Amino acid sequence: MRSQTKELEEFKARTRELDKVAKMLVRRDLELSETRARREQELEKIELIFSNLSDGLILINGQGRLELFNPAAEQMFGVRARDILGRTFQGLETFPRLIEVVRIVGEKKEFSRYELPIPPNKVLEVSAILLRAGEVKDQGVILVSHDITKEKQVEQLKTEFVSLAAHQLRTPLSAMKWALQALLDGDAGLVTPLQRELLEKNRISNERMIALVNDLLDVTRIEEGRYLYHPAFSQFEELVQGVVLSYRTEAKQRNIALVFDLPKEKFPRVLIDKEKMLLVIHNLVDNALRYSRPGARVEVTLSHDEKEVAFSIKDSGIGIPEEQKARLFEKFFRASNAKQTYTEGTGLGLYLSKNIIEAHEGKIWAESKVGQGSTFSFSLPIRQES
Amino acid sequence: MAKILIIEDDKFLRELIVQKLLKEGYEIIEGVDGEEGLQRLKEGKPDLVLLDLILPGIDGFEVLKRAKENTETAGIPVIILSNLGQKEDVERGVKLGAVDYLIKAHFTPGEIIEKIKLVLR
Repeated sequence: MRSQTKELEEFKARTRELDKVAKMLVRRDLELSETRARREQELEKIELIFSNLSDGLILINGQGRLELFNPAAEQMFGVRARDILGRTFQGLETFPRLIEVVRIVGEKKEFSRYELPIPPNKVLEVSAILLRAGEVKDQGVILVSHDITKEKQVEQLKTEFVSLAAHQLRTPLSAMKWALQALLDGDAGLVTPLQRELLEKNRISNERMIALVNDLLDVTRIEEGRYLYHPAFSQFEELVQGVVLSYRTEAKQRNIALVFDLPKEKFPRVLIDKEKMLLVIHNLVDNALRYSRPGARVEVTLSHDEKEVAFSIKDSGIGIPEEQKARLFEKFFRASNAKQTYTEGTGLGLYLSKNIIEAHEGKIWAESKVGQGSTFSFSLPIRQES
Repeated sequence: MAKILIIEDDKFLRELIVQKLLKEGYEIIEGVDGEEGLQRLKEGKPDLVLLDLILPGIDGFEVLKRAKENTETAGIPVIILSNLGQKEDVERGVKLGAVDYLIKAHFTPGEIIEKIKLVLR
Protein backbone atom coordinates (compact mmCIF):
# COMPACT_ATOMS: atom_id res chain seq x y z
CA MET A 1 0.00 0.00 0.00
CA ARG A 2 2.74 2.27 0.96
CA SER A 3 4.82 1.47 -2.13
CA GLN A 4 1.73 1.95 -4.28
CA THR A 5 1.29 5.46 -2.98
CA LYS A 6 4.93 6.12 -3.61
CA GLU A 7 4.68 4.85 -7.16
CA LEU A 8 1.67 7.02 -7.76
CA GLU A 9 3.52 10.02 -6.42
CA GLU A 10 6.43 9.29 -8.71
CA PHE A 11 4.16 8.83 -11.66
CA LYS A 12 2.47 12.13 -10.99
CA ALA A 13 5.81 13.83 -10.65
CA ARG A 14 6.96 12.41 -14.00
CA THR A 15 3.77 13.48 -15.67
CA ARG A 16 4.25 17.00 -14.39
CA GLU A 17 7.78 16.95 -15.77
CA LEU A 18 6.66 15.69 -19.16
CA ASP A 19 3.99 18.29 -19.19
CA LYS A 20 6.59 20.97 -18.60
CA VAL A 21 8.77 19.63 -21.38
CA ALA A 22 5.83 19.45 -23.74
CA LYS A 23 4.88 23.04 -22.97
CA MET A 24 8.45 24.12 -23.49
CA LEU A 25 8.56 22.36 -26.84
CA VAL A 26 5.38 24.03 -27.95
CA ARG A 27 6.76 27.36 -26.87
CA ARG A 28 10.05 26.74 -28.72
CA ASP A 29 8.21 25.71 -31.84
CA LEU A 30 6.18 28.88 -31.64
CA GLU A 31 9.33 30.91 -31.18
CA LEU A 32 10.99 29.16 -34.09
CA SER A 33 8.19 29.82 -36.47
CA GLU A 34 8.10 33.41 -35.26
CA THR A 35 11.81 33.73 -35.96
CA ARG A 36 11.35 32.16 -39.34
CA ALA A 37 8.55 34.55 -40.15
CA ARG A 38 10.62 37.46 -38.99
CA ARG A 39 13.55 36.31 -41.11
CA GLU A 40 11.32 35.96 -44.11
CA GLN A 41 10.03 39.44 -43.47
CA GLU A 42 13.58 40.75 -43.25
CA LEU A 43 14.49 39.02 -46.48
CA GLU A 44 11.45 40.45 -48.18
CA LYS A 45 12.37 43.85 -46.89
CA ILE A 46 15.92 43.54 -48.21
CA GLU A 47 14.64 42.32 -51.52
CA LEU A 48 12.19 45.20 -51.63
CA ILE A 49 15.03 47.62 -50.98
CA PHE A 50 17.26 46.04 -53.62
CA SER A 51 14.60 46.03 -56.28
CA ASN A 52 13.48 49.58 -55.61
CA LEU A 53 16.92 51.12 -55.21
CA SER A 54 17.68 53.75 -57.84
CA ASP A 55 21.34 52.66 -57.86
CA GLY A 56 22.28 49.51 -59.70
CA LEU A 57 23.38 46.64 -57.47
CA ILE A 58 25.38 43.68 -58.71
CA LEU A 59 26.60 40.93 -56.40
CA ILE A 60 29.17 38.35 -57.38
CA ASN A 61 29.48 35.67 -54.69
CA GLY A 62 32.63 33.99 -53.35
CA GLN A 63 32.45 31.36 -56.07
CA GLY A 64 32.51 34.07 -58.72
CA ARG A 65 28.90 33.62 -59.71
CA LEU A 66 26.38 36.37 -60.30
CA GLU A 67 23.96 36.32 -57.42
CA LEU A 68 22.13 39.61 -57.68
CA PHE A 69 21.36 41.99 -60.51
CA ASN A 70 18.67 44.44 -59.43
CA PRO A 71 16.17 46.20 -61.75
CA ALA A 72 18.15 49.45 -61.70
CA ALA A 73 21.22 47.53 -62.90
CA GLU A 74 19.08 45.89 -65.58
CA GLN A 75 18.00 49.29 -66.75
CA MET A 76 21.47 50.86 -66.64
CA PHE A 77 23.27 48.07 -68.44
CA GLY A 78 20.38 47.03 -70.65
CA VAL A 79 20.73 43.37 -69.68
CA ARG A 80 18.01 41.23 -68.06
CA ALA A 81 18.78 39.54 -64.76
CA ARG A 82 17.08 36.28 -65.71
CA ASP A 83 19.44 35.93 -68.68
CA ILE A 84 22.55 36.09 -66.57
CA LEU A 85 21.88 35.15 -62.94
CA GLY A 86 23.95 32.18 -61.80
CA ARG A 87 26.60 32.57 -64.48
CA THR A 88 30.26 32.96 -63.58
CA PHE A 89 31.35 36.55 -63.93
CA GLN A 90 33.80 35.67 -66.71
CA GLY A 91 30.86 34.27 -68.61
CA LEU A 92 29.29 37.74 -68.66
CA GLU A 93 31.81 38.86 -71.23
CA THR A 94 29.45 37.83 -74.00
CA PHE A 95 27.42 40.93 -73.15
CA PRO A 96 29.39 43.90 -74.58
CA ARG A 97 28.01 46.27 -71.96
CA LEU A 98 29.25 44.06 -69.15
CA ILE A 99 32.83 43.67 -70.41
CA GLU A 100 34.04 46.50 -68.19
CA VAL A 101 32.19 45.03 -65.22
CA VAL A 102 34.01 41.72 -65.74
CA ARG A 103 37.32 43.60 -65.84
CA ILE A 104 36.56 45.48 -62.62
CA VAL A 105 35.52 42.33 -60.77
CA GLY A 106 38.61 40.54 -62.07
CA GLU A 107 40.87 43.20 -60.54
CA LYS A 108 39.86 42.19 -57.03
CA LYS A 109 40.78 45.54 -55.57
CA GLU A 110 39.59 46.23 -52.06
CA PHE A 111 37.81 49.34 -53.31
CA SER A 112 37.73 50.92 -56.73
CA ARG A 113 35.64 53.46 -58.55
CA TYR A 114 35.30 53.96 -62.30
CA GLU A 115 33.38 56.03 -64.75
CA LEU A 116 31.94 53.79 -67.41
CA PRO A 117 30.57 55.20 -70.62
CA ILE A 118 27.59 53.18 -71.81
CA PRO A 119 26.84 53.76 -75.48
CA PRO A 120 25.20 55.78 -76.90
CA ASN A 121 25.45 58.51 -74.28
CA LYS A 122 25.09 57.25 -70.73
CA VAL A 123 27.81 57.57 -68.08
CA LEU A 124 27.81 55.38 -64.98
CA GLU A 125 29.90 55.72 -61.88
CA VAL A 126 30.63 52.20 -60.69
CA SER A 127 32.08 51.45 -57.26
CA ALA A 128 33.33 47.96 -56.55
CA ILE A 129 33.86 46.69 -53.03
CA LEU A 130 35.55 43.42 -52.19
CA LEU A 131 33.46 41.67 -49.56
CA ARG A 132 35.04 40.12 -46.51
CA ALA A 133 33.72 38.31 -43.46
CA GLY A 134 36.03 38.98 -40.53
CA GLU A 135 39.48 37.82 -41.57
CA VAL A 136 38.22 35.87 -44.57
CA LYS A 137 38.77 37.90 -47.67
CA ASP A 138 37.25 37.38 -51.07
CA GLN A 139 33.68 36.63 -50.11
CA GLY A 140 32.64 38.13 -53.41
CA VAL A 141 32.31 41.56 -54.91
CA ILE A 142 29.51 44.05 -54.75
CA LEU A 143 29.18 46.69 -57.45
CA VAL A 144 27.11 49.79 -57.00
CA SER A 145 26.43 51.81 -60.12
CA HIS A 146 25.08 55.31 -60.22
CA ASP A 147 23.88 57.15 -63.30
CA ILE A 148 25.92 60.36 -63.59
CA THR A 149 25.00 61.26 -67.17
CA LYS A 150 23.37 64.54 -66.14
CA GLU A 151 26.24 65.58 -63.88
CA LYS A 152 28.67 64.88 -66.69
CA GLN A 153 26.70 67.00 -69.12
CA VAL A 154 26.54 69.90 -66.67
CA GLU A 155 30.23 69.56 -65.99
CA GLN A 156 30.98 69.66 -69.70
CA LEU A 157 28.83 72.76 -70.21
CA LYS A 158 30.48 74.45 -67.27
CA THR A 159 33.97 73.70 -68.54
CA GLU A 160 33.07 75.08 -71.93
CA PHE A 161 31.55 78.19 -70.40
CA VAL A 162 34.52 78.83 -68.13
CA SER A 163 36.95 78.39 -70.95
CA LEU A 164 35.03 80.77 -73.14
CA ALA A 165 34.54 83.35 -70.39
CA ALA A 166 38.24 83.22 -69.56
CA HIS A 167 39.09 83.81 -73.16
CA GLN A 168 36.65 86.69 -73.47
CA LEU A 169 37.99 88.36 -70.34
CA ARG A 170 41.64 87.75 -71.07
CA THR A 171 41.66 89.09 -74.61
CA PRO A 172 40.93 92.73 -73.74
CA LEU A 173 43.18 92.40 -70.68
CA SER A 174 46.02 91.22 -72.91
CA ALA A 175 45.48 94.12 -75.28
CA MET A 176 45.69 96.54 -72.34
CA LYS A 177 48.78 94.83 -71.02
CA TRP A 178 50.60 94.89 -74.32
CA ALA A 179 49.63 98.50 -75.07
CA LEU A 180 50.67 99.68 -71.61
CA GLN A 181 53.98 97.91 -71.98
CA ALA A 182 54.55 99.50 -75.38
CA LEU A 183 53.88 102.94 -73.86
CA LEU A 184 56.17 102.24 -70.88
CA ASP A 185 58.89 101.02 -73.25
CA GLY A 186 58.68 104.36 -75.04
CA ASP A 187 57.50 102.77 -78.28
CA ALA A 188 55.06 105.64 -78.78
CA GLY A 189 57.44 108.42 -77.80
CA LEU A 190 59.05 109.72 -74.68
CA VAL A 191 57.10 109.37 -71.42
CA THR A 192 57.33 112.01 -68.70
CA PRO A 193 57.91 110.82 -65.10
CA LEU A 194 54.38 111.79 -64.16
CA GLN A 195 52.93 109.87 -67.12
CA ARG A 196 55.11 106.93 -66.25
CA GLU A 197 53.78 106.89 -62.72
CA LEU A 198 50.19 106.78 -63.97
CA LEU A 199 50.99 104.12 -66.54
CA GLU A 200 52.73 102.06 -63.90
CA LYS A 201 49.66 102.23 -61.64
CA ASN A 202 47.55 101.23 -64.58
CA ARG A 203 49.82 98.31 -65.26
CA ILE A 204 49.42 97.10 -61.68
CA SER A 205 45.62 97.26 -61.94
CA ASN A 206 45.79 95.35 -65.20
CA GLU A 207 47.96 92.64 -63.65
CA ARG A 208 45.55 92.44 -60.75
CA MET A 209 42.65 91.77 -63.07
CA ILE A 210 44.62 89.11 -64.92
CA ALA A 211 45.40 87.44 -61.59
CA LEU A 212 41.73 87.64 -60.66
CA VAL A 213 40.68 85.88 -63.86
CA ASN A 214 43.28 83.19 -63.17
CA ASP A 215 42.01 82.67 -59.65
CA LEU A 216 38.40 82.57 -60.80
CA LEU A 217 39.34 79.88 -63.28
CA ASP A 218 41.02 77.92 -60.51
CA VAL A 219 38.03 78.32 -58.21
CA THR A 220 35.66 77.09 -60.87
CA ARG A 221 37.89 74.12 -61.53
CA ILE A 222 38.13 73.26 -57.88
CA GLU A 223 34.46 73.74 -57.11
CA GLU A 224 33.49 71.72 -60.12
CA GLY A 225 32.94 68.65 -57.98
CA ARG A 226 35.54 69.32 -55.32
CA TYR A 227 37.06 65.97 -55.87
CA LEU A 228 40.49 64.95 -56.98
CA TYR A 229 41.05 64.25 -60.63
CA HIS A 230 44.36 62.45 -60.67
CA PRO A 231 45.35 61.22 -57.23
CA ALA A 232 48.53 59.14 -57.19
CA PHE A 233 50.96 58.00 -54.52
CA SER A 234 53.82 60.50 -54.55
CA GLN A 235 56.90 61.59 -52.62
CA PHE A 236 55.58 64.67 -50.90
CA GLU A 237 59.00 66.01 -49.88
CA GLU A 238 60.19 66.10 -53.51
CA LEU A 239 57.16 68.12 -54.51
CA VAL A 240 57.90 70.65 -51.78
CA GLN A 241 61.56 70.85 -52.70
CA GLY A 242 60.68 71.59 -56.33
CA VAL A 243 58.47 74.49 -55.34
CA VAL A 244 60.98 75.94 -52.89
CA LEU A 245 63.72 75.79 -55.54
CA SER A 246 61.51 77.61 -58.02
CA TYR A 247 61.19 80.50 -55.57
CA ARG A 248 64.90 80.81 -54.86
CA THR A 249 65.54 83.65 -57.34
CA GLU A 250 62.55 85.64 -56.23
CA ALA A 251 63.52 85.27 -52.58
CA LYS A 252 67.05 86.44 -53.38
CA GLN A 253 65.72 89.45 -55.27
CA ARG A 254 63.61 90.42 -52.30
CA ASN A 255 66.48 89.71 -49.94
CA ILE A 256 64.58 87.08 -47.99
CA ALA A 257 66.27 83.93 -46.67
CA LEU A 258 64.13 81.03 -47.86
CA VAL A 259 65.22 78.02 -45.80
CA PHE A 260 64.30 74.41 -46.40
CA ASP A 261 66.19 71.32 -45.26
CA LEU A 262 65.15 68.32 -47.26
CA PRO A 263 64.63 65.52 -44.74
CA LYS A 264 67.35 62.85 -45.06
CA GLU A 265 65.07 59.84 -44.81
CA LYS A 266 62.42 59.13 -47.39
CA PHE A 267 58.88 59.97 -46.42
CA PRO A 268 56.08 57.45 -46.78
CA ARG A 269 54.33 58.18 -50.04
CA VAL A 270 50.99 59.98 -49.83
CA LEU A 271 48.00 59.86 -52.11
CA ILE A 272 47.82 63.29 -53.75
CA ASP A 273 46.70 65.10 -56.84
CA LYS A 274 50.06 66.60 -57.76
CA GLU A 275 48.79 69.49 -59.80
CA LYS A 276 46.44 70.64 -57.06
CA MET A 277 48.95 70.08 -54.28
CA LEU A 278 51.50 72.19 -56.16
CA LEU A 279 48.94 74.97 -56.24
CA VAL A 280 48.68 74.84 -52.43
CA ILE A 281 52.43 74.83 -51.80
CA HIS A 282 52.96 77.63 -54.33
CA ASN A 283 50.25 79.65 -52.65
CA LEU A 284 51.71 79.29 -49.17
CA VAL A 285 55.30 80.02 -50.23
CA ASP A 286 54.14 82.94 -52.34
CA ASN A 287 52.18 84.40 -49.41
CA ALA A 288 55.08 84.01 -47.00
CA LEU A 289 57.44 85.86 -49.33
CA ARG A 290 54.84 88.46 -50.25
CA TYR A 291 54.14 89.51 -46.68
CA SER A 292 57.75 89.46 -45.43
CA ARG A 293 60.05 92.45 -45.28
CA PRO A 294 63.51 92.46 -46.89
CA GLY A 295 66.05 90.78 -44.64
CA ALA A 296 63.44 88.45 -43.16
CA ARG A 297 63.58 84.67 -42.94
CA VAL A 298 61.03 82.18 -44.25
CA GLU A 299 61.38 78.61 -43.13
CA VAL A 300 59.72 75.52 -44.57
CA THR A 301 59.67 72.35 -42.48
CA LEU A 302 58.30 68.88 -43.09
CA SER A 303 57.57 66.12 -40.64
CA HIS A 304 55.69 62.86 -40.48
CA ASP A 305 54.55 60.09 -38.17
CA GLU A 306 52.72 56.86 -38.96
CA LYS A 307 49.44 58.60 -39.53
CA GLU A 308 50.25 61.76 -41.46
CA VAL A 309 52.76 64.00 -43.19
CA ALA A 310 52.83 67.66 -42.26
CA PHE A 311 54.03 70.80 -43.98
CA SER A 312 54.59 74.12 -42.31
CA ILE A 313 55.94 77.46 -43.40
CA LYS A 314 56.97 80.12 -40.90
CA ASP A 315 57.49 83.76 -41.80
CA SER A 316 58.28 86.82 -39.76
CA GLY A 317 55.96 89.00 -41.81
CA ILE A 318 53.08 91.30 -40.96
CA GLY A 319 50.98 88.67 -39.16
CA ILE A 320 47.21 88.36 -38.98
CA PRO A 321 45.01 90.42 -36.64
CA GLU A 322 43.52 88.09 -34.01
CA GLU A 323 39.90 89.04 -34.67
CA GLN A 324 40.28 88.28 -38.38
CA LYS A 325 41.90 84.88 -38.05
CA ALA A 326 38.63 83.00 -38.15
CA ARG A 327 37.82 84.33 -41.61
CA LEU A 328 41.26 83.70 -43.08
CA PHE A 329 40.25 80.79 -45.30
CA GLU A 330 37.03 82.33 -46.55
CA LYS A 331 36.44 83.19 -50.19
CA PHE A 332 37.59 86.73 -51.09
CA PHE A 333 38.66 87.50 -47.53
CA ARG A 334 41.77 89.61 -47.04
CA ALA A 335 43.09 90.79 -43.68
CA SER A 336 43.01 94.57 -43.23
CA ASN A 337 46.79 94.87 -42.88
CA ALA A 338 47.35 92.59 -45.88
CA LYS A 339 45.25 94.86 -48.09
CA GLN A 340 47.59 97.74 -47.29
CA THR A 341 50.82 95.82 -47.84
CA TYR A 342 50.06 93.99 -51.02
CA THR A 343 47.21 95.34 -53.07
CA GLU A 344 47.19 92.71 -55.80
CA GLY A 345 45.94 89.84 -53.65
CA THR A 346 42.56 88.43 -54.58
CA GLY A 347 41.63 86.72 -51.35
CA LEU A 348 41.27 83.40 -53.09
CA GLY A 349 44.60 81.69 -52.52
CA LEU A 350 43.91 80.38 -49.03
CA TYR A 351 40.32 79.53 -49.89
CA LEU A 352 41.57 77.40 -52.78
CA SER A 353 44.23 75.82 -50.62
CA LYS A 354 41.69 74.87 -47.98
CA ASN A 355 39.41 73.27 -50.57
CA ILE A 356 42.28 71.28 -52.00
CA ILE A 357 43.61 70.11 -48.64
CA GLU A 358 40.14 69.09 -47.51
CA ALA A 359 39.58 67.20 -50.75
CA HIS A 360 42.66 65.22 -49.67
CA GLU A 361 41.02 64.66 -46.26
CA GLY A 362 43.75 66.76 -44.69
CA LYS A 363 43.72 69.76 -42.37
CA ILE A 364 45.04 73.28 -42.83
CA TRP A 365 45.52 75.93 -40.16
CA ALA A 366 47.41 79.08 -39.23
CA GLU A 367 49.07 80.47 -36.14
CA SER A 368 49.96 84.13 -36.07
CA LYS A 369 50.72 87.29 -34.14
CA VAL A 370 50.54 90.76 -35.64
CA GLY A 371 54.03 92.10 -36.28
CA GLN A 372 55.70 88.80 -35.43
CA GLY A 373 54.73 86.68 -38.37
CA SER A 374 52.63 83.67 -39.22
CA THR A 375 52.99 79.94 -39.54
CA PHE A 376 50.77 78.13 -42.02
CA SER A 377 50.56 74.37 -41.74
CA PHE A 378 48.72 71.52 -43.28
CA SER A 379 48.70 67.77 -42.79
CA LEU A 380 47.75 64.91 -45.07
CA PRO A 381 46.73 61.41 -43.99
CA ILE A 382 48.95 58.47 -44.93
CA ARG A 383 46.94 55.73 -46.55
CA GLN A 384 47.84 52.14 -47.10
CA GLU A 385 49.07 51.46 -50.61
CA SER A 386 47.32 48.42 -51.95
CA MET B 1 66.40 88.04 -90.57
CA ALA B 2 63.87 85.35 -89.79
CA LYS B 3 60.35 85.43 -91.19
CA ILE B 4 57.46 85.07 -88.77
CA LEU B 5 53.83 84.26 -89.53
CA ILE B 6 51.26 85.60 -87.09
CA ILE B 7 47.82 84.01 -87.11
CA GLU B 8 45.62 86.18 -84.90
CA ASP B 9 42.09 87.45 -85.44
CA ASP B 10 42.14 90.38 -83.00
CA LYS B 11 43.33 93.38 -84.99
CA PHE B 12 44.64 95.41 -82.08
CA LEU B 13 46.60 92.53 -80.55
CA ARG B 14 48.01 91.70 -83.96
CA GLU B 15 49.15 95.27 -84.50
CA LEU B 16 50.81 95.48 -81.10
CA ILE B 17 52.86 92.33 -81.55
CA VAL B 18 53.66 93.06 -85.22
CA GLN B 19 55.02 96.50 -84.39
CA LYS B 20 57.25 95.03 -81.74
CA LEU B 21 58.51 92.30 -84.05
CA LEU B 22 59.16 94.72 -86.91
CA LYS B 23 61.17 96.87 -84.53
CA GLU B 24 63.28 93.81 -83.73
CA GLY B 25 63.94 93.44 -87.45
CA TYR B 26 61.82 90.38 -88.23
CA GLU B 27 60.03 89.97 -91.51
CA ILE B 28 56.30 89.54 -90.87
CA ILE B 29 53.43 87.85 -92.64
CA GLU B 30 49.92 87.83 -91.20
CA GLY B 31 46.82 85.66 -91.24
CA VAL B 32 43.57 86.91 -89.72
CA ASP B 33 41.85 83.50 -89.53
CA GLY B 34 42.63 79.80 -89.81
CA GLU B 35 42.08 79.56 -93.59
CA GLU B 36 44.27 82.52 -94.41
CA GLY B 37 46.85 81.41 -91.89
CA LEU B 38 47.19 77.99 -93.55
CA GLN B 39 47.47 79.58 -96.98
CA ARG B 40 50.17 82.01 -95.85
CA LEU B 41 51.96 79.16 -94.19
CA LYS B 42 52.18 77.22 -97.46
CA GLU B 43 53.06 80.19 -99.67
CA GLY B 44 55.20 82.18 -97.30
CA LYS B 45 57.46 79.46 -95.84
CA PRO B 46 58.02 81.29 -92.54
CA ASP B 47 60.71 80.27 -90.05
CA LEU B 48 58.25 80.32 -87.17
CA VAL B 49 54.50 80.64 -86.56
CA LEU B 50 52.73 82.45 -83.72
CA LEU B 51 49.32 80.81 -83.58
CA ASP B 52 46.14 81.89 -81.81
CA LEU B 53 43.64 79.12 -80.99
CA ILE B 54 40.19 80.64 -81.04
CA LEU B 55 39.82 81.79 -84.62
CA PRO B 56 36.83 82.23 -86.93
CA GLY B 57 36.35 79.23 -89.18
CA ILE B 58 39.09 76.63 -88.75
CA ASP B 59 40.42 76.97 -85.21
CA GLY B 60 44.06 77.03 -84.18
CA PHE B 61 44.16 73.37 -83.15
CA GLU B 62 43.03 72.37 -86.63
CA VAL B 63 45.55 74.75 -88.25
CA LEU B 64 48.31 73.17 -86.17
CA LYS B 65 47.15 69.67 -87.03
CA ARG B 66 47.10 70.38 -90.75
CA ALA B 67 50.44 72.19 -90.61
CA LYS B 68 52.03 69.13 -89.02
CA GLU B 69 50.38 66.71 -91.45
CA ASN B 70 51.85 68.51 -94.46
CA THR B 71 55.47 67.42 -94.98
CA GLU B 72 56.34 70.83 -96.45
CA THR B 73 55.29 72.70 -93.33
CA ALA B 74 55.70 70.05 -90.63
CA GLY B 75 59.21 71.22 -89.74
CA ILE B 76 58.23 74.85 -89.07
CA PRO B 77 58.11 75.49 -85.31
CA VAL B 78 54.75 76.72 -84.01
CA ILE B 79 54.33 78.70 -80.79
CA ILE B 80 50.76 78.83 -79.56
CA LEU B 81 49.83 82.28 -78.33
CA SER B 82 46.35 82.06 -76.91
CA ASN B 83 44.23 82.97 -73.95
CA LEU B 84 42.95 79.46 -73.54
CA GLY B 85 44.98 78.08 -70.72
CA GLN B 86 43.22 75.08 -69.24
CA LYS B 87 45.44 72.08 -68.75
CA GLU B 88 43.59 70.14 -71.44
CA ASP B 89 44.18 72.91 -73.99
CA VAL B 90 47.89 73.07 -73.25
CA GLU B 91 48.24 69.30 -73.39
CA ARG B 92 46.34 69.14 -76.65
CA GLY B 93 48.49 71.86 -78.20
CA VAL B 94 51.75 70.25 -77.15
CA LYS B 95 50.55 66.86 -78.32
CA LEU B 96 49.76 68.28 -81.74
CA GLY B 97 53.35 69.45 -81.97
CA ALA B 98 53.55 73.05 -80.71
CA VAL B 99 57.04 73.93 -79.39
CA ASP B 100 55.69 76.28 -76.75
CA TYR B 101 52.38 77.43 -75.33
CA LEU B 102 52.09 81.03 -74.18
CA ILE B 103 49.06 82.58 -72.56
CA LYS B 104 48.72 86.10 -73.95
CA ALA B 105 47.71 87.69 -70.68
CA HIS B 106 50.78 86.29 -68.94
CA PHE B 107 53.43 87.59 -71.34
CA THR B 108 54.42 91.04 -72.60
CA PRO B 109 55.42 91.35 -76.28
CA GLY B 110 59.03 91.66 -75.11
CA GLU B 111 58.82 88.33 -73.28
CA ILE B 112 57.16 86.70 -76.29
CA ILE B 113 60.08 87.85 -78.45
CA GLU B 114 62.49 86.29 -75.96
CA LYS B 115 60.67 82.98 -76.44
CA ILE B 116 60.80 83.37 -80.23
CA LYS B 117 64.55 83.98 -80.11
CA LEU B 118 64.97 80.87 -77.98
CA VAL B 119 63.11 78.71 -80.50
CA LEU B 120 64.91 80.18 -83.52
CA ARG B 121 68.34 79.77 -82.00
